Amino acid sequence: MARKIVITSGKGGVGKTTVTTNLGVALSNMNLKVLILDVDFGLNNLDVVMGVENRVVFDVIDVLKGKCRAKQALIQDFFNPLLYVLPSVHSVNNINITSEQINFIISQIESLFDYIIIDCPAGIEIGFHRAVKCADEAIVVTTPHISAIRDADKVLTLLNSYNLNSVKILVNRVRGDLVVGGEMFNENTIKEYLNADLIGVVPDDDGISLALNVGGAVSKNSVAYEAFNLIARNLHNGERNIFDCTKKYKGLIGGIRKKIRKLV
Amino acid sequence: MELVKSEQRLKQILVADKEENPLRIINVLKSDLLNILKNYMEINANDLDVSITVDEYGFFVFNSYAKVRRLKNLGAIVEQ
Repeated sequence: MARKIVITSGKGGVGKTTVTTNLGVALSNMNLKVLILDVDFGLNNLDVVMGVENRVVFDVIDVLKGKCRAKQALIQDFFNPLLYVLPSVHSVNNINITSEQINFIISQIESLFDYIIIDCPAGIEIGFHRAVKCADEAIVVTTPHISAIRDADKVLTLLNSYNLNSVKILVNRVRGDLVVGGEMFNENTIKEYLNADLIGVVPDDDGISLALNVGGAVSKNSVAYEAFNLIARNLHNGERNIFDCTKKYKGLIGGIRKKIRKLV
Repeated sequence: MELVKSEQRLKQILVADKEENPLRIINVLKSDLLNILKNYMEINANDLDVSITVDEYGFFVFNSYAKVRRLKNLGAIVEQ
């Protein structure tokens, strides 16, 4: 049985799809078979972020309409043979799709995977509930900004009414230079206010923007790559290692780096 | 200094949100509490009253009042 984890946030634009993709890649690098499932109907972008938009033959709707089997709709990642994507569609009235239908698709293929990572739409409307109903665990993505933390808090409250095995938070786009300078919330403050377990922290990294433009996961040279690997190990092995975004900005050299970053 | 102000702002917003919509939290909390209490006593949902308020310092104050019909065999529970 695969572990089914929904990646959610409430607020849009905090990096749900980026987290979904890179967590999937990091887990597959650990020799685990991973499926990334896009249930963000209407505004899906997982295929683009993964760089597989030109390889989509069948999608979730085709599976639901019986045009193909779930297995046939899976797209194997070019660089990670253990990573698969089941894409969603842009042109669909998402109201008509139920969590039971998504669960039916999952039931057909879950035995093939160690992890199924579900990319949830933004908001707390029907799409959110549909995605959460398909999962056993949830990761709530937030950024260190008040609006995102506020929405994460609301989502965490809503998740309380589901019988999930685990709900954790992930803080994305943390700028170490600002945290060191006392200009941005650190992960511990956010954890304290949200009163939730922290699965990891991802630094604000140009490597992510580059990867989004090219398609696929962040480069191995990027600091975010290391952060996602830590998160994957925390998730799979139960480790509790959190990426230190401030490390680079401590000490004399760190102080110079901090000043340069501010100037740029 | 700016971060301290932001933290206060965040706290106020989160507290205000919870004050606005406490019913949902209370229902979830009440259901969880009932599940636990039923291990120890005979209690109905209608007999359990749960409320959350916010004090002047921004702390949540949790109040619960229950009318219990009968306690279960406490000796057996301890042995378990």
